[in-house]
Amino acid sequence: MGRARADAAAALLPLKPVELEVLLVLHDGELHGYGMAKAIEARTGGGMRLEPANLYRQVRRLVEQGLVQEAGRRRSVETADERRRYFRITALGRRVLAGEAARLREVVEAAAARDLIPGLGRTR
Amino acid sequence: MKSERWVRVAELVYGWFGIVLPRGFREEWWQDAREMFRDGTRSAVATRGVRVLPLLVTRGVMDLLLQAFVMRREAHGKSDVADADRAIPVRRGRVWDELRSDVRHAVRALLRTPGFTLAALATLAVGVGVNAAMFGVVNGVLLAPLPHVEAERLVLVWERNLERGWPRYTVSPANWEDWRTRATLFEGMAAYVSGTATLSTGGEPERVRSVDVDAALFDVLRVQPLLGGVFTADAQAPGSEDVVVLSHRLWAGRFGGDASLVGQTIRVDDRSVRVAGVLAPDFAFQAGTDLWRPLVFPFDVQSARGAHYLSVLARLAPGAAVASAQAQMDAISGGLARDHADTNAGWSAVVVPLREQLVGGVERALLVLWGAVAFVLLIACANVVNLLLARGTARRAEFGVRKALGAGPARLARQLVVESLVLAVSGAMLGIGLALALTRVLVVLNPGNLPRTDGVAVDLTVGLYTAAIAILVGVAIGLIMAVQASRTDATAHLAAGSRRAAGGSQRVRRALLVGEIALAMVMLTGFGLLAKSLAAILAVNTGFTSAGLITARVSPPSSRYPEAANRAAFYDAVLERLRAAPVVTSASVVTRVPLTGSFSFGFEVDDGDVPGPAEWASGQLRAVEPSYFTTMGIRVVSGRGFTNADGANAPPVVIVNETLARTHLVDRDPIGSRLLVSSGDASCPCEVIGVVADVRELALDAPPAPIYYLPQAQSIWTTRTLIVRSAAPLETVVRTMREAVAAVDAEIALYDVQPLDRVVAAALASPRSNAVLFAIFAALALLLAALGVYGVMSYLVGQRTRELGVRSALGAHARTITWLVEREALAVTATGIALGLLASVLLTRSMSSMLFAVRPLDAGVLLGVSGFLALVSAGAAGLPALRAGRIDPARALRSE
Repeated sequence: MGRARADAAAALLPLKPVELEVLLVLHDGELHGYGMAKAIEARTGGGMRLEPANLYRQVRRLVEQGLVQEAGRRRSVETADERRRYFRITALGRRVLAGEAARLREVVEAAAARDLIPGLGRTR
Repeated sequence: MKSERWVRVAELVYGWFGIVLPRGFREEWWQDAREMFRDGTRSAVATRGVRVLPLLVTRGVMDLLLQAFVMRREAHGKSDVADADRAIPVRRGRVWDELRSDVRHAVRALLRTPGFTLAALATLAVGVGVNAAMFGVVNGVLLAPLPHVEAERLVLVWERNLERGWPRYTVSPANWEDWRTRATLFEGMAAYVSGTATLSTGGEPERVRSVDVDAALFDVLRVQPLLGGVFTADAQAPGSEDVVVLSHRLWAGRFGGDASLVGQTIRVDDRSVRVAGVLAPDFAFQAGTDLWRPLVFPFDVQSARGAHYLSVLARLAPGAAVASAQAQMDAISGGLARDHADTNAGWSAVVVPLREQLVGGVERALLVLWGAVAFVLLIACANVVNLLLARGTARRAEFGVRKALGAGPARLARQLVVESLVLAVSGAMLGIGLALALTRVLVVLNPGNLPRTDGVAVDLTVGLYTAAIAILVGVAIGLIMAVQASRTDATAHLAAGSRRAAGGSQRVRRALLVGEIALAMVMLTGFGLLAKSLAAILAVNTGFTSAGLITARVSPPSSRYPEAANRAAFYDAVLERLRAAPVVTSASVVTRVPLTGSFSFGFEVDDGDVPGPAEWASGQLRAVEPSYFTTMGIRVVSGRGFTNADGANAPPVVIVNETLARTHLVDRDPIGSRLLVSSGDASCPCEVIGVVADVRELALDAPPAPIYYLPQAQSIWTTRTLIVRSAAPLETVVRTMREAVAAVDAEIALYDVQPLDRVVAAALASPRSNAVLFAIFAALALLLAALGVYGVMSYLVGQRTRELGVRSALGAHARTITWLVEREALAVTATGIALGLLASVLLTRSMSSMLFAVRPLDAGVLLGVSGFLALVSAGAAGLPALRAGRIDPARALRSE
């Protein structure tokens, strides 16, 4: 059972950068579309801006893959009276996110070993 | 308030583009995407203002088009679209290199087909140019901030009496005083009264615009004078020293910018007044005003509750909203209406933002025109797509080869987008040139009714807007082309002339043409309605003969002409001189000539059962000299006109117009009836001695109002307009008039000199310029649509050369073949017209406030426009149709 779940998670790796970002910000809590875009923009220091259709195309795929699920419609602080559809990360989503992070750490270590990252040298 | 509206417009535009998304995605996710767009837009507008909207819409729409493209590819099982995920976060180096090569490639491809490139550029330049010009006007008039400190907090407060149909009415001194003491949501509330004054220091006596203001006005506007100071509330006490604040223009012009003028006295209206200060050149309230004097009430303010003559400017307290200020004013005016029922029953107060007061009247017309030019742009885009499709047929082989060599569809799509972007941006640059010229035309065409035209220019904002439009147009066209190209696979491209490929694009081309014709139909309908409305206004009988009449205003100062008799003597002396002049046919005097504003007072028929003044009817009062009616050419319908015998000591008399007689002197002989008037004039009740024909006194496009005329010798009103009828040239007549006035009193100035024809023309300015502008836009739309018909039919004939050649070889008559093509053009046109009719029905409703005597659904206009469009379309298809008829069967079959 445990083995099968790990395989399911591994099959979805590697994540695309946008998917990784969406899962990362959802890991911190439930968000609606604009909330995700704002959180991603803030997290990447403005390096990644997502427009609505692009974001929801990604969200649709993540929902289809079972990494993200809907969390109902409700009022948000910034939209006053209007209701927005919220999303949350699933257990599978968390495992995939962790798997991707581990994979990336390997990549980073391999790069550091080749002195590609200033400050993360081969002196270990 | 305003920014909320623009956010809605942005959402609407974004919403339209949702149609490009695949249906499955649209059903499940489009609402969320739209909501997210709304959230993002609101938050950006809140921090950076409405100016970011064009950028946000462009970015949003680009995203929509790109994602739609990607999803359609995915749906076909093609997952070679990884770049699209990163389309927004850009990897700089490689993308820029590829982009540069794409641009080079695009420019070369465009130069290879100069005929196509010229046609496309011209089309885009027209489409973008009119949009940039119109946006320049919208931006300058509606969007640009007012030139005041925190102008969004400035409001005008009016009284209103909805029972009588007065939505914004001037305020009485007592009510203003009570408002000011009771209202807490205003930081300041200042009253003012506009007028004119005669300035006689520093040259010829000159009539200038003056405003009597409450000292608080300068605080409300937050202005500091350039020199000296402004006056304080002390200056408003009756009997205090006379002071005045000068406009920068007057000080720099008439007084040569002499700084020592402050503290000195000048002569204003025959009195010595001290110059307290000079305003800064950028002071922009009540533009054109030269003198600012303290507002003085030479009576107990609380006694003046029924006399409405003040305007009130106020600044909302920090954080106070217009709605809450309105609610408070409702409560205060409700209280006053209870406490002073005799004067205030039926009256309440209304808070109007200064911006709305200034531009509210033209907002609708401007937005309708803006929508109209958007249609011109849509037609232009459809034409360019058509041109590109025709060219695409020729380039199919090229793309097939590139695809076969391994260029991915996203890469090909990007090249198509870059090509159309190069086209759109070059077209937009030409368009900006066109906009520079057009903006000037727009401002010139609209002199009468457009406020704030000095802010209209092709500036950075307009440039950014134009750039946004160019990018939007370029990307949209490119993606349409890309989707079109992706529908057919590589092998089909390689098989040149494949009928399958041509079939799809023919459908698209016909659909585009139908759209173009429908849009042109809407534009033509708009023009037709405005033209018919203008014709109706032109056909209105004004009731007077304006040709050959020259008017000028004079104001004998009350200091030297205190009594009505003194003033009458002054006018008699001037008129005597004028009538003796050989160039003058006749001359007279009136308080106000038609179409120069309202001067209204209550009146009531004196039939022994007179209600309280609050119930009196409202009518226009005009005090006239006896020869007024003959000089103006106004017909006396019954009774008699005034004579010199109707003097100050004669029995009080009045003449009414037909409308007043018909509406208020029902079932009785008007002659001999008696009227009471509320103006404080003479010793009415006055006996009605005559009825004159109706005159369009207030507006050409409104029914005549009730008017009553009093003989000048029996009236108290001083400011009068001289009217002279003469066949001589204008300058001669004006000189004669100046000499006549100067001979009687050298200190009195003649001002507002103008032929009555010009007054009438000014009243026509708004409907005329609306019609002219729509005519220009509709002509452009028609031209582009006609080009579209011509292009598509030429292309179709080219495609069907073989088929038509076979028909011809089989014995079809040339006329039959010509008709075959014409019939096709007409079928497309008929579909377009039907669609256009439907759209017109929906859209022209928004124009109803611009129309006079024409309803938005005018069968004549709709029929005429449909017929005209069908004719133009048939004409445009004529050349290709004739060419089809002349196809040589032998050559057609050989070339296959």
